[in-house]
Amino acid sequence: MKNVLRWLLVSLPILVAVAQLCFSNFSNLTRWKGGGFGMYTDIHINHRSIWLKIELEDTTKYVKIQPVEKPWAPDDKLVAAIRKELSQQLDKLVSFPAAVDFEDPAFARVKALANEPAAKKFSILIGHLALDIDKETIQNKVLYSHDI
Amino acid sequence: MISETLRKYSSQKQVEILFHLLVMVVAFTEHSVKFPYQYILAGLGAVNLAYRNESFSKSTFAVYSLLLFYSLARDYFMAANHFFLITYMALYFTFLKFKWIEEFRYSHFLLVLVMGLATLQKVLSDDFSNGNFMASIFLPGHSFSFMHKLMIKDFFAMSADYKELVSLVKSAPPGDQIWRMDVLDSFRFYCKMHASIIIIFELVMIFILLFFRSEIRYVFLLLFLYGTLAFRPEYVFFATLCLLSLTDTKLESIGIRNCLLFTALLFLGLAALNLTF
Repeated sequence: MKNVLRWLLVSLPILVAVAQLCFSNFSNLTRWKGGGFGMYTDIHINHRSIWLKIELEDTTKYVKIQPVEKPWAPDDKLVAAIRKELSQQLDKLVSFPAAVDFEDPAFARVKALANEPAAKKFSILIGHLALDIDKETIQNKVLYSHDI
Repeated sequence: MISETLRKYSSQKQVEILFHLLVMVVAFTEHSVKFPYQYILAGLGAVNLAYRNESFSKSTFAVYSLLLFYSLARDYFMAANHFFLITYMALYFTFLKFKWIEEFRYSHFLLVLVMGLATLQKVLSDDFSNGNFMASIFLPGHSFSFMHKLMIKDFFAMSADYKELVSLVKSAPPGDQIWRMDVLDSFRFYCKMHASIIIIFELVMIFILLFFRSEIRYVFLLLFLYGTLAFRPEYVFFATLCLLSLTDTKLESIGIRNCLLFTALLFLGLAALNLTF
């Protein structure tokens, strides 16, 4: 029994480390989380943002869900309502969007909150800051996109 | 024999005190630890600091393990490195206190794993090897900007432009729009040089951790922690590494133990200050 527990203790960090290595290199888990073995190897997680994209007949509307602007815009009731609805999902959306369950009814409620009956499509976008000092460019790149 | 027993007893006591302090700080800094668990963890830590009883301490570690492990499992994708290490240590101490396992040098194994993975991830990350990550850390000018100013002539002007540009870029929806930013050749070289130095230093650190005796190993670890403090004020993580080092049974030098203890307390104090203000 002692040996089994000992092996369990030895294999646990290896399992977590391998999972983190795979998810962060082959999927979109941030290197900062999931056991955090790759922190300070990638642009900070705070530079990831969450947006609601609403495609209308002739235009596209974007609602920034996270991070909230400072100072908090008191009249932005829609953002506050969406954030409240997605409170269980926000952290996961930022750290590992591919692992989020988009079947969660909260996303349907977000569509209802947006109150855009003419909308053709709703999507959740995760943006991340992409900096390139060789090309001297900076961009808010789409890291992940999912229709809801 | 008596001095050996005393040394072991005092080391064990030091480690336990530090662990309770660390749990108290982590309970309030980690997003994964939700209400009311943070208060249970901090309360247990406080009671253990004030009152020492072996059977109570045993139960405390079991509760720590359960609550921390539950929080980690529920929000694994949000867990930072130090949170995983602290959860693991709680589990290890629980197994040890209940005599379910015999002591082994888990601390050395964890330190090598943490350092090895960190280096591997740096090598695999394009942003790190190209110097983009270092630029993203240096340009906001929060940490040790005077050092960058000494090396790069127009650092402050570049930093001000960058901050303005980042807030503009982040306020735009994600897409294909690209902004141009001016980067001085000297700054580009400075970032790439830092990235290479860090990788080389970490490789040296892994070599030392693997092949040198405990005393040398932990002196270098301390140097590494103080050296990297310029770029990464991760106080809780550093305190966790010091605590891990203190649990190494092969480390006999009282002087180095005291240095590690002082460093851990210093970082914990800084983390608690960060939490308060």
